[in-house]
Amino acid sequence: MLTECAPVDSILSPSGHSAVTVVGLGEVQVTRDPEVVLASFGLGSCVVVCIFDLLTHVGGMTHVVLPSGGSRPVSSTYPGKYADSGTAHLIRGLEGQGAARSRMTAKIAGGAAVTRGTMPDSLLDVGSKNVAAVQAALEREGIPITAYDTGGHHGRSIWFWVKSGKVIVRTAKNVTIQL
Amino acid sequence: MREDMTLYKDEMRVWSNLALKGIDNAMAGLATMVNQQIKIKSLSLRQVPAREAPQLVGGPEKLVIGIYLTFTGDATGHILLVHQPEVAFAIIDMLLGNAPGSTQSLEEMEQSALAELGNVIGSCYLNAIADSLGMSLRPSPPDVILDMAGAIMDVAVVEIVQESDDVFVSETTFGTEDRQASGTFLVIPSVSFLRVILEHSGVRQRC
Repeated sequence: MLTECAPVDSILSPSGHSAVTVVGLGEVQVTRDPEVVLASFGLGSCVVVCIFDLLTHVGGMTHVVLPSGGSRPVSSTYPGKYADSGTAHLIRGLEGQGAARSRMTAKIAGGAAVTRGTMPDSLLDVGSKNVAAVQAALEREGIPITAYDTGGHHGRSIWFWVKSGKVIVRTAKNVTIQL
Repeated sequence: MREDMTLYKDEMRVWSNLALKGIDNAMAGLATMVNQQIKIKSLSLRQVPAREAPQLVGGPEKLVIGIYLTFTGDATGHILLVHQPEVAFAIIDMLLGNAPGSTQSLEEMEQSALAELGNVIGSCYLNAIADSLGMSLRPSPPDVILDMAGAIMDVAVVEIVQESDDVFVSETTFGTEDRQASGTFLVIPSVSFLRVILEHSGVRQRC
């Protein structure tokens, strides 16, 4: 479900009383404060995963950089770096705040191919690989994806309202859509 | 052998001297192309947490034009030349011999002009370093991208974070006297690049 919506700046106006918490590259944020808006800016091949439980108003976001760490240890600084371990870390964090796995739903965005091929071979299609790895991780965990905006060739910024589960995506082309 | 990006003082000096040689040569190449004197305004070598890397080019959402290339050979890494769009358009006017203000968008011809700029700057930079150390460093064809700074930085950072939580970067800001052609020139070496150049320079022991 993609619908064009008002510019995000007007949605985030001071009268909206929303506090924005930025989720940087490889980070995971979980909150049970329904007034919090989690946001991630300027994503290229990275993918943002938003998971929430609307009954308890517990929500969280992870900013995935790579599909899988393989045998590499997960960095405590960047627990969201890999799609597989980052998604699991987010879910554990949500459960720790009182969310129920059975009520969790997810929205994802990102995974663009910003360059036209100037990349080390190991990173070709890393955006689409990130998307596939996030989808696989969520499927393994039994969490349905209810909306997504992935792929393409342009960067994105993403805002996630924990209270309602609303996600707004603004692209580098200044197109704003609601998931 | 240390696998991390931390550099000791001697190693920093070696890298600093090399970076300066590369940048001098790259800016000489740029000056020839735009037929104007180029001044280096600042040069810094920094180790920054990966999540802060987009701040090097104005913040993750800032719309910029990036000329991006990778290099391979005895070592690997990323080179990124970043301009505000209106500055990039002014540079394109200089390169194509247009009247100032002619370029207003990034079409195929404009992209080619900036790609050529990337070729010259990238090759000049890498040649200076490779010649100093007797190494082989080959640039890729450049990609010219108009996008959010964070999305462009992702391309380089994604590779580095496979090995390190920090990004080591050489950052140069430069400009012509009239400030029409200014920009930021970033060189983001892979972990292996740092290891190899320090081994070649004899500062770090080869294993």
